[in-house]
Amino acid sequence: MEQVTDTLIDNLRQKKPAAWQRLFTVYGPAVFRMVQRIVMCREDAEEVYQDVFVKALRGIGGYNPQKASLATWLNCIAYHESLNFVRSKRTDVVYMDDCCVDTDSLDVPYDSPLEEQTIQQLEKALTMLPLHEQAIISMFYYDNMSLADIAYVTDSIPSTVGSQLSRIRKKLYRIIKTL
Amino acid sequence: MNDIHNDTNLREAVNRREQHLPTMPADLNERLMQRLQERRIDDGTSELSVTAPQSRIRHIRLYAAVAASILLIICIGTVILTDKPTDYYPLYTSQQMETQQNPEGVIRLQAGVTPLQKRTVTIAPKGNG
Repeated sequence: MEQVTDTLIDNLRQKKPAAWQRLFTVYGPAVFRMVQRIVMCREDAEEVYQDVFVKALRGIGGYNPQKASLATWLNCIAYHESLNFVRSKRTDVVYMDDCCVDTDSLDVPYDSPLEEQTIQQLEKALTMLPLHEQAIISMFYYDNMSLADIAYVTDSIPSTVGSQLSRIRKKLYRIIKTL
Repeated sequence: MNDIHNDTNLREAVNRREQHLPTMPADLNERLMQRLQERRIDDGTSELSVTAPQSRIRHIRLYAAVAASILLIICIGTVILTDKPTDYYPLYTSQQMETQQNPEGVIRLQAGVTPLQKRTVTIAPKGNG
């Protein structure tokens, strides 16, 4: 698998169209998912998706496999490209900010059994988080990415990502109390 | 840290939310390939180099903004430094000028007499006479 990826990277560096096609087929769905998490409008998401790969192909020469896998590197580009796109649109969306949420005085369940009502409320609360926090939560819980990989994507450090996740989780439980 | 990993409710909520996200259009990769092949990568005007001039423009704008700020600071500084102090210290300046023009002023200042005192002293005898 690693050798296949290395060959793909070599072919991409040699600008072979067949390698582009393979890149889009293998990594496209994950990249599109990442974009779609942040860019809600479908047409915009498709545009950003294309920009991500254009940027990736342009920067493939500078990609260092020692630092992150190709998938993580592409996710990193997708994450920043999507956030930049949303910020450039300057849509006035009000999210639940930390200032509204007193997370310290909150009793968050440590390990609770599956509860349908809580799940539904959490699902609703997720939409009230800022976009970058939604993406971090999805990377951790859905993509099962390691803290190190999430840190690479978000230009952070693993310990910071850990505390961020803990804080976001507390925030979510605080939000569902207000629902 | 374990509390994050063990939260099955949150994991399930995230999973459900992800299920609602629309899937990737089947022809999106074809459109992307078309876009790339329309402008060859090796070409100087290729799609892949399209953002280079944009970043250059961004840099130029940044430099222009910095230069404009520096010029503004210099202008404001010059205005403040070259501004005559008469507006701010009228009494002091009038005393200074009087001292330079009229030697009496020196004597009066040495004696601790202000121009107001001098005026009352000098005007009173004229009115009586």
